[in-house]
Amino acid sequence: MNGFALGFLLWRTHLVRSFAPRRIWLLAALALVPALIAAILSLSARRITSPEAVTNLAWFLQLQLVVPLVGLLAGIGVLAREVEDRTLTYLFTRPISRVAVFLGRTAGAFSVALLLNLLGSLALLVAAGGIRLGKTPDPTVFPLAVFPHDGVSIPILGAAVLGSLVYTALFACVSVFTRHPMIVGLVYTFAIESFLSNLPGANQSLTLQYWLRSWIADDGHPIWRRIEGFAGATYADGPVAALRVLVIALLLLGIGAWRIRRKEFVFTS
Amino acid sequence: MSVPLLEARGLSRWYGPVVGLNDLDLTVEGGIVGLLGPNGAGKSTLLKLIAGEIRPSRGSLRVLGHEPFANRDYFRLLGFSPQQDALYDELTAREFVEFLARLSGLRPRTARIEAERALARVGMSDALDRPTRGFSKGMRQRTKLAAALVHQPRLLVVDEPLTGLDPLGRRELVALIQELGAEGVHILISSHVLHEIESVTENIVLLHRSRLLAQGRVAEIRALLNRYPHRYELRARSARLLAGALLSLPGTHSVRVSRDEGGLSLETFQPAELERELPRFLAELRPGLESIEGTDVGLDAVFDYLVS
Amino acid sequence: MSQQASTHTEIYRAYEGAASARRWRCLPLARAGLARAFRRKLALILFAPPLIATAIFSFVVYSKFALEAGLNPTPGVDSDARSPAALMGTMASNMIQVKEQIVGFHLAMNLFVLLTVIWYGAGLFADDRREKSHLLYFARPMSRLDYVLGKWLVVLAFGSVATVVPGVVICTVASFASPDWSFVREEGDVIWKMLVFSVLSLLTFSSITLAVSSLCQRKSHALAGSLGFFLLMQGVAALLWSLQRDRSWLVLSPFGSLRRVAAGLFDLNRTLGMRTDWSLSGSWAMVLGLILVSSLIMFWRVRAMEREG
Repeated sequence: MNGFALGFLLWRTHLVRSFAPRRIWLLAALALVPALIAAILSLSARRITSPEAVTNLAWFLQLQLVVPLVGLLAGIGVLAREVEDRTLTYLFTRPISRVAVFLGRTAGAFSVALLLNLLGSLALLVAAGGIRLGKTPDPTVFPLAVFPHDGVSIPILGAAVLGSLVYTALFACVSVFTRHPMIVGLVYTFAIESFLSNLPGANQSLTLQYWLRSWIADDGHPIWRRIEGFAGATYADGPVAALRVLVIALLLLGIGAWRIRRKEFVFTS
Repeated sequence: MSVPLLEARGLSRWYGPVVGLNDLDLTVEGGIVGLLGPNGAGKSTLLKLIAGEIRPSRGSLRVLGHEPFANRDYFRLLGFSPQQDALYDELTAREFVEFLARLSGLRPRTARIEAERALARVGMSDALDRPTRGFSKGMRQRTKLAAALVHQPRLLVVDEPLTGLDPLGRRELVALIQELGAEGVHILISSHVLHEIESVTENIVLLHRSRLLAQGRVAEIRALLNRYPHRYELRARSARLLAGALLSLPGTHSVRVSRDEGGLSLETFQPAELERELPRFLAELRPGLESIEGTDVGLDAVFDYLVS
Repeated sequence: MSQQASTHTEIYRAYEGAASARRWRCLPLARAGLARAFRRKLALILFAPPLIATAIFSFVVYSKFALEAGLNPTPGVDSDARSPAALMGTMASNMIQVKEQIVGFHLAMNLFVLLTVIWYGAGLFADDRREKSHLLYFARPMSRLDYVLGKWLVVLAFGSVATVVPGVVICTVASFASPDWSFVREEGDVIWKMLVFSVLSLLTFSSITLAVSSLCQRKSHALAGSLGFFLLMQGVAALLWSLQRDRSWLVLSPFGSLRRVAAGLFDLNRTLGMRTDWSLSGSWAMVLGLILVSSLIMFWRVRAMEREG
């Protein structure tokens, strides 16, 4: 079987297995939380503009919580679940490359994460676009009307794509190295990244969050600069940030692929 | 000269401080071979090495001329049915076996046909399109076996294949294994239930405490165990008469007549002598022999002798 | 052919006692859970921050009373109320309140208590479901309540080491350090309020964690789900507060509600420097509501587990 056919088969099977169980609905609910909050805001007493709502929700909730969590849950599904269930034996005793298994399944996990994060981002944009200042909807953020030149939608959707890719790759790589990728992932996302990304200076650039924020911050709507904590920070150029994220993702995939070739998975009875 | 099925030299594997296999030297020519041993003997470790899941810590292992670990050429020849029950719960039996068939290199149409055929062969025709989530233990066992057979491997390695099967299922599986053996497939079956293996093959590899304890045909192994006399139970109308004659044999260790005077328990170090002289005794004395049975030539007895 | 009966008295002895009708079957289950949890020693590192914080806060409380005592260090000798020692004593008396220290400790340690509870509690139901070991329990004369309590006691035991025990230690230090047991006589209510609040926060964290655990089949999912729930609620509440400039939204977060409940219990306007002026009844409703809903989820899931094969 050639590489593409194999990769496609693994990708497709991983997708089927990811969407079959009920937990996918929980993940979808998680991805829709920012949109739900936007809907709550649209009903609340205080007048808040659409751009203000969508940028804050995207910056604090979508980017820092939802995208990493979805990426974590998708990424560790590449290997960790099969290691726990001991079904990895079936894949690793077939005449196929382990690298192909890793990459094919990571592609499947990325597809899941991408779908959910894009869904969440679009839902957020639609819900936030319904927030009215007075009786007139704010035309600045209504994605289907002003997409793609509004300086808000593209950064958010782009961050969803880049974040899905890099976090899935990161946690897929982690799942090759450790039997407890969930713990490592949670510690990294909610302790290490949170700590480093809030430090002043160059320390922030050690985190994935910094590059995703740079992508958003570079060529966005001026409303982004009104976000708390934004003003004092220095961000890289958007294209540079996007390239950096892509390179990091490819590097992580390469490291994971290299390691899995000779890795022993010892299943205890 | 044909390549042996399995060749291990100084094969050792440890997990931190725990030794899984200790300096195993083993050559298996082929056919149906039973891998036996109590829990913790090293069977699972040896199977994992054979299945290419792990590497040896020391020594070498070649199966069908290949080093198994992560060896794609070797995996084309291997069909492995692991011990664990887990399958892909979200897929049906057909989808699961077909998926693995595709991974083994079969084209989509061929994979579909072969998956159906393999599942039918293991008696799963009625449950082809049921999700494996709801399968019983026996159904999972059969599905695993179908997945191992679907690409017609040269070597089939099955770990505890009869676990969870009802008596009818066991008989069917034993018949299938014998059928596959007759077709020229090498089969390595692991179990700690001795009578299961006895029903399938006489060739065994016996492990104990991470070491090789014995290898070969059961009867031949028994013959090697010189320090244990061979035991026979005889029933005859004139048991005392026969007992007297048997005592005269040079290899006889003990003769005991049962209370009902119809039975004899004989222990001898020279079973060949007994085989040669017994017809003469029967012709001369006419003791009315009704039955004779060797009571310690089976695997249970051999195993007991070896580990005690 | 009739089967000959046989006995094996050389192996078995007839039981001559009476089976006790144990009412608290949750206790052996809890003991087993604690023994199992203790096998992993590395997780005990989670207790390090509360331990250190207990030492620090106890020292602060002790210093308060020690500095206050410096107002009149040698009885019978005239002392100048404006001396440095006296001034420091007055400052300590005014600025350091034991109840503020206790509330400060609990709020500062909330995250570590949560991590402890989640670590020890996330796998309790999830692992049972995965390994189907709940079937062993349900084949015993054990009620659903026994089963749930047996699990709950495990996580309460570990959680109390991080919250109740330190609170007791700080109050004990205050009691002994205060001259003539003035802390007990004048502020004795702080002790029972501390116990109430500790238990309440522990129940909140543990009930949510166990509810999530009962919904999952893997400990890793339960870990992520529990932590994700708290972080999500905190994030949403903080964001809504920030966007709406209205602290009422902090009720949505368990941390926020517990902070308000603490302020209400101990009669404080500020906790850890933050004004706590959002709805007290709303906060109580949130906390109690979370405990109730989580408990219902737990019992519902345990009922379903009884039917699972």
